[in-house]
This record gives sequence, C-alpha cells and structure tokens, in this order.
Amino acid sequence: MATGRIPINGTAAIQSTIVDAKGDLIAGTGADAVSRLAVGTDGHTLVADSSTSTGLAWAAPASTGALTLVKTQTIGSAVSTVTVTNAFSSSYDNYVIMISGGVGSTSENLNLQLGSTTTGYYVAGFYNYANSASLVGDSYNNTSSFKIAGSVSTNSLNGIIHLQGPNLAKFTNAHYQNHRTATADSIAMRATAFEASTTQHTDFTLAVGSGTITGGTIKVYGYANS
Amino acid sequence: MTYKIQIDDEVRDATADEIAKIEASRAEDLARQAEAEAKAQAKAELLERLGITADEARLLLS
Repeated sequence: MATGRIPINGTAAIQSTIVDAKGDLIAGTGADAVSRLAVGTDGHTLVADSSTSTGLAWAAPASTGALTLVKTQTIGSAVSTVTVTNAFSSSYDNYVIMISGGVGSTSENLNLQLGSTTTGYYVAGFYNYANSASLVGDSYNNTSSFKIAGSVSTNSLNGIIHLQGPNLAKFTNAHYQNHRTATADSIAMRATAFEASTTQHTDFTLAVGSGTITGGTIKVYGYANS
Repeated sequence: MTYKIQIDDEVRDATADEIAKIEASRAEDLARQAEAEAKAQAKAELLERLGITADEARLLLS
C-alpha cells in the first residue's frame, strides 16, 4: 500500500518497515504479535515448525519420488569396457542401472563388475530364444563378474539391473533381465545373482564379451531408503 | 590386440594390465560357451542314438 501501513481490523496497523527484503513474510509470534520471517533459500518450502518463534521455517522439500537419478553416463565410440565412477554411495542402499540405446559391433553379452572385485560372482538364471519356448537354465559359479547382465546387438544395447547394497558392507545381490535385439538370435535372459564380498563399492564396469559398443546411455537410479 | 576403455567421459587405450583383465574375462566367457556347446552336442548325439526328439524326451521326463 502506498501509505506504508497495512490496516488490520480498521484500527491497528503493521508498519511496512517490518519487512527488509524481497520475499520477507510477516508472521504471527503470539497473540497480537508479529515478526518478520526472512525469505528462505531458493527451492525451499515453508513448513510448520513449533520450535521457532514464528512457528514456521523454510526447509528443503521432502523427497517424494521412489527413484532418484544418480548418474547418467554416455557411452563413447568403439569401447570394450565402460567404468562408471561414484555411482553408489551411502545415500541409497539399492539401485537400478538402465542401459539403453547404442549398438554393439556384434551380438554379445555385457558383463558387470563391481569396483575392482574380479572374483566371487554367482549367477543363477534362465534364458530362451524368441524362436523357442524352451527355457534353458544358466548358471555361473564364482566368476569374475555378473555374467550376461546386459545384451548387445548391432541394433541396440539393453539391460535392467537391480542391485541391492553395493555400497553396504554386505554381499551385493543382483536381479537382472535383458534381451538381445537381433532377429537372427533373439534371446531373453533373466537372472538373480550375488557377489560374495563385503567390499563397499562406489564404481562399476560394464564389459562386452567380444567386439565393442558404441553410444547409448547408462543411467543409475537410487531407491529412496525411506 | 588393443582395446579402448572408457572411465566416465575419458576414452583411452587400455594399459597392459587392463588388457590382461579384459582378455581373462573374455576367455572365461569363451570357455563357458565351449562347455555349453559341448553339452548341447552330447545331448543331440544321445537323442540321435535313442531315436527320439528333444520334445519327446521332455515328454518322457514329465
């Protein structure tokens, strides 16, 4: 208001000098008492907080999403392995890795290694070809990586890999599925697996079984702990 | 044999140690593939000796 006063009940008034900056609020502090509440940090929201004099506080909005994108890595040209660093941390216990886009130089498997650990990977799964309904059991006992964690063809790379506790001091469990998108040898793989060490990993490496991969992305999402 | 490896956004030639690791992993895969092919071959030969198809064998075992 041009007068510099905000009328209240037609008799009392609040001086405009109570506010000092853009975004300041006038908040009640008790019966017939007000105070300035300075604007909060960009992106923060106003929440009730009985511990403050105004009963209000600015706070970062609570995360409501179940999944948070932690890292996106674009795959380079004609590489044999891709290492993604700082993918896992204490912020999340569980993760999902999505591999999509890109192409391989031939039809192959993608294997996933956690950190620098090259032993103690156990995989039990099954696969079948698109031209056959017969399931084939598949297992890997104490190998150097999670075998067939993703698939590669000259059409695409793909894989969905769920990891439980890669950054915890416990065995890491993995559950994954992928499909080789090649009409000549279309094959689908599903597996559960674990890595038998208590090493706390922050990085992982995807390695193609033969040939190279080009393009596409690796996205790492963290599952909210609460 | 040379290999290009990627660490985050950096792409470079693999070192001797990295080449050894890549080739060890690939050898592991090839050995496993050879084992699976040998099993499939033995199975096909057995079915041929028995004179039945794979579907008929599954029917017998169901």
